[in-house]
Amino acid sequence: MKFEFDSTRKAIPQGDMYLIPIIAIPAEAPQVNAEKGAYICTHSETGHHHVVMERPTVKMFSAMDTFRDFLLIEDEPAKLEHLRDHHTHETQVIPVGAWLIQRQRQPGPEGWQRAAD
Amino acid sequence: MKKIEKLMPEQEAELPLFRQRYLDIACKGGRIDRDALQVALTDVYAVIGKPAPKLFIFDSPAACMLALKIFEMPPRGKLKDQIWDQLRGQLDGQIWDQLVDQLGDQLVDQLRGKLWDQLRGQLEGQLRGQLKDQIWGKLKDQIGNQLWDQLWGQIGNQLGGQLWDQLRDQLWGKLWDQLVDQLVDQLGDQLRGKLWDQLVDQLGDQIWGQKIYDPHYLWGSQDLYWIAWAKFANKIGVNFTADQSHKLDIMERIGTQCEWWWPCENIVIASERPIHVRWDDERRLHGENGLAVEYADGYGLAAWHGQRIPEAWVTGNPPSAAEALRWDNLDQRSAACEIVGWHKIMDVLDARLIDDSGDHAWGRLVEVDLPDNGPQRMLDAMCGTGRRFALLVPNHVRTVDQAQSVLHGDIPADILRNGVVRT
Repeated sequence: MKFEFDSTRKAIPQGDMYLIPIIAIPAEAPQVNAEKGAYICTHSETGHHHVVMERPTVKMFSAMDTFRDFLLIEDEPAKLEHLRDHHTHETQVIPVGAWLIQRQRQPGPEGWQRAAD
Repeated sequence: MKKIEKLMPEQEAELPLFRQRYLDIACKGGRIDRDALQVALTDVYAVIGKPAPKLFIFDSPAACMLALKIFEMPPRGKLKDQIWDQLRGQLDGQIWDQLVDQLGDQLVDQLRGKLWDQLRGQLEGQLRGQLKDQIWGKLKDQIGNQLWDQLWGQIGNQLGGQLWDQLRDQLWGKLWDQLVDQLVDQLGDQLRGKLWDQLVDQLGDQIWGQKIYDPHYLWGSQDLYWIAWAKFANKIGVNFTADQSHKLDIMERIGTQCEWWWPCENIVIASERPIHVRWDDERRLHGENGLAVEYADGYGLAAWHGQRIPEAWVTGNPPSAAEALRWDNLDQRSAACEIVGWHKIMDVLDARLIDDSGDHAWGRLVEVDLPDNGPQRMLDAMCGTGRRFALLVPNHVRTVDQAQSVLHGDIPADILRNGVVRT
């Protein structure tokens, strides 16, 4: 899916993911449902997800790509939180706007795979 | 007949939930309702003109195979073939025809989704592979009669507890003779606790020296991938005949109760479903801190991003960097290196510096020579919590900026660098 970077805002790195500012969410991106009250930006098998808590003015969209999704923050900033009680990545504040969720990857035996933090 | 070409918005919204519901039935640890399964099996045996079977339930496919071996059941291929031909296989083909006749091509793909990948490609494929490997492994000819006697003695009581009370006055034919002549006499009181734990503790891998692998099973819950597909198609308007609906209903009732099941004359041996199945975010079997597939009796398989690995690696005894680098199986070696951590692998391989950003968080680019694999470049960096990590990068990468870019979907390094402080 095509999108444009927004260089007027700063990227937000946390653990094995980045939030990259973009101009707008691609129109064809389907909306994603929250899971148990949170949008999971990066999934961890051990439950140590990087999440944004669900609220009406936060929306997540699928980029149909293992390594990418989109996030839309409206009205007021949100928080990017890491659900781990040790080696916790500090919470980042996400300003209002459209964001690309970019997960880290590395080459594996079967092509690119998610790089675990 | 006019084909259904597109889902209504509410149907489209329901589809992922519908699939997940069936996936959860197969993988979320539900237990068998004996009465419900017995009724379903009675129905399936009626389809092939057989009387209702007695049902025996064990906690894992491995325990089922062991029970089959001990009972020395007569060949089961014929019964499996009958059920396959008259019900499972026939139904599958008929339903496929109905779907193709009544649904547009795109919709067929959409409905199928990835349930097959997870339930059959991953779960069934990996389990079958492990059971076969374990059983046909190098120890297969190393067990003598003495150990077999010991094995029978140890498992006898457990089997007695589960089977004997139910069978006491009901056994017939060869099974009766086998139990009385060969098994009951050896029943002891030495076995307590879970069958599989005991066997693993006391006999370890040697149990697999017995040729107990038995391929005459039907898939049970691992058949839910196509059952869910057919049920959803039916829900949105695809018509089945009364006979097809009846057979589909039987298969669903079996699949929502047990995992693999072995149809024998007068008897069915059925396995419980796993109590835990763990996936990575690409829906590959993956357990970082334990078995990826775990049964109630302790049996299971360890997997790393879909690659089967030794159980010890994720249960407190990971390989050392040196062991990981020498591991024979190259796919497992790759998993071992990830488990150990590439930064530790790098340290034992005299890494050569290619580029240094001067910033620990942004990192440095190094190259190592991996045994059997040749040169490999890696980004060596520090994460926001102060821990060091290393990630593989393609060997064409020449700078840290390039490495960061390829690791993040080819986003230009200046976009990545224009950020707040990494946490």
